[in-house]
Amino acid sequence: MPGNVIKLRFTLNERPVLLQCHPGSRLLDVLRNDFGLKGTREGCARGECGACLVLMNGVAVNSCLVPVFALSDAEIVTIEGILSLKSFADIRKGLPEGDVYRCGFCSSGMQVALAALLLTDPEPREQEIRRSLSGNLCACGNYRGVVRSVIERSSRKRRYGRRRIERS
Amino acid sequence: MQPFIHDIAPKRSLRATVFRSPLRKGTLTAVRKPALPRGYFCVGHRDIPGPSVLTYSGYSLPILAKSRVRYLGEPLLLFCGPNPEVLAKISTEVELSFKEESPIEYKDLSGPYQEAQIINLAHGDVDLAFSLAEQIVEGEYRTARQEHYSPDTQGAVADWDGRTLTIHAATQDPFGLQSAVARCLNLPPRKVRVVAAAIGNTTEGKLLYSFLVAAQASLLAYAAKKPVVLVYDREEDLLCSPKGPQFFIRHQTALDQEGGTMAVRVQIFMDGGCYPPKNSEALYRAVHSAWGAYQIQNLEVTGRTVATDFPPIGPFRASGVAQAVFAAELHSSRLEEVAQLDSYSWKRENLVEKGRREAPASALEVLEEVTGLSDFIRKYSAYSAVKKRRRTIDQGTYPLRGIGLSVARQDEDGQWADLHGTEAARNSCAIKLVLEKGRRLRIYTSLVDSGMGIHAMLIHRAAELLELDPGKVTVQTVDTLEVPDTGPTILSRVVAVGLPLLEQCCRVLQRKRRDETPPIEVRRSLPAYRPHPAKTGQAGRRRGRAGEAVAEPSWAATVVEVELDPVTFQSTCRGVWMVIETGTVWNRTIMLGVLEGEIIRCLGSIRLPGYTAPSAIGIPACSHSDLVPAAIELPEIQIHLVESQGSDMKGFEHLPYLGIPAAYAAAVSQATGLYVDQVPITGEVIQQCLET
Repeated sequence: MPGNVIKLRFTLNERPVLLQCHPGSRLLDVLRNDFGLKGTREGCARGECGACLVLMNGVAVNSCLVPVFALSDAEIVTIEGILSLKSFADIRKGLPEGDVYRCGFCSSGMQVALAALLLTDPEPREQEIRRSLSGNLCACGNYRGVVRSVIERSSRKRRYGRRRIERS
Repeated sequence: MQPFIHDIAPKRSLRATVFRSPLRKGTLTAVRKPALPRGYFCVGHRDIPGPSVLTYSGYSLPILAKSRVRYLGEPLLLFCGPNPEVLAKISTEVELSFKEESPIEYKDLSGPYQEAQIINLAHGDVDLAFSLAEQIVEGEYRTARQEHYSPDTQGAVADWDGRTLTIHAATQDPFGLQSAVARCLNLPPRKVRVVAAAIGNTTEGKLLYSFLVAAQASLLAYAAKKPVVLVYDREEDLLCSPKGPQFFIRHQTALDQEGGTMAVRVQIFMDGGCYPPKNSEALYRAVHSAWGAYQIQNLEVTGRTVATDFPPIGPFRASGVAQAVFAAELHSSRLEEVAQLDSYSWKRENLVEKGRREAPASALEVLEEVTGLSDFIRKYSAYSAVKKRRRTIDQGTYPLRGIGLSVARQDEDGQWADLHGTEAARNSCAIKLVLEKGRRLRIYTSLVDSGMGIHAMLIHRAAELLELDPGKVTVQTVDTLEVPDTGPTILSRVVAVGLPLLEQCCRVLQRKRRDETPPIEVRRSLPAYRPHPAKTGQAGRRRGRAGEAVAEPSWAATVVEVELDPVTFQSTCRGVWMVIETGTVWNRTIMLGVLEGEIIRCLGSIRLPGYTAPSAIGIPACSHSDLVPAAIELPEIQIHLVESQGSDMKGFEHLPYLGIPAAYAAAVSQATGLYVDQVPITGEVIQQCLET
């Protein structure tokens, strides 16, 4: 019914989009069904597992809990954006490599959570990384592997940065 | 990477929904379906062309209930159509007439309830030993139902084109699913093609139930002649999918004057759920592991599967053994007190059978090593001293800390003999390798990857044996049209059957490489069942597979240290130390990764409240944070792998489930001075123990 449909504009992976749908629809469904962005996954549908995390105005949010009426003028970045956009090139260098994840279901949510952390703190410490992942549940229990990988990459980046400064 | 089942949606596909029973128990007298709009379809139990009950590995489960309803959320009707909102509306219009019955609330499982199966095991003269005993120590232990918690819910996509039924399914056994669906639709198996989707890490939750979901999707696709997508939502998945069974275990031990164990009598009651298995592998394994890793001359075990009004049970990782070992280890900590020995000394003594000279070398080795690694003896003495000084739990300013030790072994009983049985009916277990130009190798197998590193294991092993770059070795997409049947995917089975088969293929391929040019194809299969000579006759049901590493168990000793909040009694794990002897260690990174994950999962199942059966549809069974620990809660974990020369790689993924619960409970008992006799161990459980 037309009365039950709203039109709104927002930015999705740095592209302006116009969406027409039921105002109560979940952002998760819109991303997966209307835009075909399947990297954002549905786990618990209750905001507990973090499989559906996306960046909303630079903050990681559970897209299963975000109604589309809250999207007006928002900037949404999904895992597809994080892995492909130029503006996230530096962030990508700090994210764990793909083979760290085991079954891979929670990987996109974890990467979004870590991207949100790296946006504010490019060289996070172990406790901060763990805290940033506290909203992500991994059925394989592979948190340590992910944390180790982020620390390694961040220290590699640090070493590389130091070398560049010394050379200059 | 393969897509998950949620990501597969063919063009023109219909969405499906399952109409479920709002009753916990009762009889349906009439079911009135609403008039369906054009393009919408309904399937009831009468529309199933073949048998309407799925059977697998001793379990049986109706695809759709007929008139008798046995659990809340039991499937009654299936609907499919283009619009999910219309489907939801149709579901609300179904009218049911029924006679409701009150389900029995089981306080424990040892009442005069209906039994589906009884297994007895006895050796020595138990009655005589009990009549001569100086002291008899008794204990009762309980373990709760277990939820699988797979990150992806159950689902299947089916498409019937008039000649072939193609199913995309999240399953651990594509060929088992193929034959189950073919039977239910009265089709020859060759007309059913199964393509395995990626599956999230699961504790064998994608075996039995994946067949049922695929059968439901297939029935709808058969009726609609269009692709049908059936993916359960999370509530539905938690409500209806089979759980790991709960156990109630009673121990009686006859002791001599010095506190030495003369005889052990164990009664095991397993919750069989509303569709109790008549031939339960879990019960069989519980009976054979009733006295844990210890040796005893006089032993009497009775195992019973009790029919209850709870949702169905199904295969679960280490089910039966884990609960039996938990009870045996906790009971042994009571015996340690009587014998006035610390855990280490008591275990060391009791791993040796009277009349034998020494305990299994591997068992002693892991025990010695873990006590050294964790500084067990010093901490145990310190915490025991604090416990003695503190008269009550809330007295004194000392932190409530404790440390527990357990020893366990994973042997052939942990390798799903009955699942091999289903495979025997299919009479095949094969792997195919194709070496292509450019030193590229393709592995054809029906083993799926489920977060246990199974494909990585196959790739690295093949690359190592054939001296190839692992980057050039790939595992073919699991499609029953292309790959041979390698049986169900269970890690210990992969280690025992899959890897030896792959090694055979690699050796043959290596020889062929000298004379032939690529592409070179090698296929090897294991012969069907034969009784294991060492085991037949011993327990009547023990069997072995040719090439299976059944003779030697893998051993683990585990130490867990905990601290309790003095106000809420919520426990925090301070550290886990685990030493494992598992034969040849050829890929330490994969094994440590898998073990660490299993330890974390296992800690979640002990500390968190876990699954509770809801009383009505719409009431959540449990939340995710009740099942899986978060990254912030991780303790120190140290795993040490002990390699034994001249021995094949052995199964190891059950060992955390066998060792950690008992060590954790023993640590909590030491910290609180209470006998904690159940898992999960939440703050509420400790409060209850205090009150009683």
